[in-house]
Amino acid sequence: MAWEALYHAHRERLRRVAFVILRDAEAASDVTQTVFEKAFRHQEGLPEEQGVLQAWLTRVTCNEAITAARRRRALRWVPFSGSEAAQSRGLGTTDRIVVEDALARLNPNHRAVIALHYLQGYGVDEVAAILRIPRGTVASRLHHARMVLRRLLLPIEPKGMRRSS
Amino acid sequence: MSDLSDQEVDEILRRGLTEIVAHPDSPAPTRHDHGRSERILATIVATIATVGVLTAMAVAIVLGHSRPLSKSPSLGAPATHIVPWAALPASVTSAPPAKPPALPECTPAELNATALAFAGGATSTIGYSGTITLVGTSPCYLPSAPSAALIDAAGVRQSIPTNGQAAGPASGFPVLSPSASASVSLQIYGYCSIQPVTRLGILLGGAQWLYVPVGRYPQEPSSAASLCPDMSVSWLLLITSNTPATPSPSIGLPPGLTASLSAPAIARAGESYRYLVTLRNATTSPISLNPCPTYGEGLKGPNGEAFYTLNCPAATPVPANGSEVFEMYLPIPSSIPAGVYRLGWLVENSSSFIGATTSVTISS
Repeated sequence: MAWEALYHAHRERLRRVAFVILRDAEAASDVTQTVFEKAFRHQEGLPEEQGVLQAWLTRVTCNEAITAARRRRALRWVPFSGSEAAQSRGLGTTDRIVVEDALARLNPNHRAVIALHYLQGYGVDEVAAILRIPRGTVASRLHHARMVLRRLLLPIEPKGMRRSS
Repeated sequence: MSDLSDQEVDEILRRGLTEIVAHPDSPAPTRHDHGRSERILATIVATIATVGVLTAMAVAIVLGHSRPLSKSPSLGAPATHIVPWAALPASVTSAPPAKPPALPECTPAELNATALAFAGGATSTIGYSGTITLVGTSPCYLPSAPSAALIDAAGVRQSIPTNGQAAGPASGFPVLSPSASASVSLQIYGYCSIQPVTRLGILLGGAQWLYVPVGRYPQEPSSAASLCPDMSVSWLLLITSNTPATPSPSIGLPPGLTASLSAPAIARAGESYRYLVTLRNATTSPISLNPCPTYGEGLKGPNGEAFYTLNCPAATPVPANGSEVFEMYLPIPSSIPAGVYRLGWLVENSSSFIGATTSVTISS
């Protein structure tokens, strides 16, 4: 595959994966650029089979984004840039808010699993292969993400809260 | 924990992620309160409308408490009466002494502390309450804002900024006479970012530590420990006297009332931040706000808490199975770094606290 075609075929997909892990559009673009720089430097050794190449690019993207997220941890959260665009998007906005909140409570490793499974549609075995982690770890992280989301949708009811003296 | 199936949760995750990556440059407003998603959406829409108005307002200084010159529209509150904010200072007559009394400070050997019991919680915030009783034979006082340590099961002191301690009129120097007790209220924000706390250490007279066991949180702590790794952690510790002869440090909410917040998710540094507090009466009888409660408000971390008296003169008794909405203003320091903070509003009762917190994103 020509280099330019490779770039255009995967750039947006990889950028979205990086964005879920980093929760920052600019940083996600930087990571995507870094991935392609690496790929370009090693293009002679890139896998030829498309599925393997896609998995390789995805793994490198996840690793780069996780590393970048750890470096950026002190900054936390998504930088504020105005939210008017989210004002009238209907129910999708509700899901976005809750999922944003859930992502903020997951570490980058968990977010990588979430991005690959829910955004890219990879199965548990595929995610395990791409990230080179045990299948059970993938399943555990997915379960953990669901649990976080449930907690956000149905908060803990105060028990024994003393209403007043 | 939830009646949502895995498939429903999966679908929410897919839709949410799709929305997020489709609009990466417009981050979602901070989730408000701890309600369901539908309530969040309603709040966000109201918030965005309100922020636009607030940012255009002029700011005046009223008793050191800046506030807009004109009112912003209703903020996700019932379209009923909103009791306006008034700069009513916390009652100085009921405040404990600001200086240590001419008594020795209590030492751990003179005190008997009960384990702090879980007193309520919500996502990322939990509270505990307990009592300290003087078993010694001589009166002594407790510190107003003691140094404290949150300790986990391994005996490791949790590294948490000690900037959540009480300040203002609600603090003081509770005096204990023999057999008298004081209440301890501990609230931890972002608790799931730290190991479960099993002991609270309070630094008392003679530089000695009083260790108070902390009860288990009903939710399994170990499973909650990694839920919000990126959240900031802070805590609030209040020690107040239970002795009737000692002036109460604050007047709490009458029995039967609960408080909830309706607050914009976004604020700007330097502005006066308007939000609403709803007092709900779940009983079948009206509840009078007499005596008028004292409340504290603040952003956890940057500026501590400020204490005021509720604007009860402008309010009516809270109707049975109804509510009364109070307007609040909080000055946001102009020097505050942009980021996500916890807004706390609480009424400190003699033996516990009633309050609510929410996240606020502050832009510079």
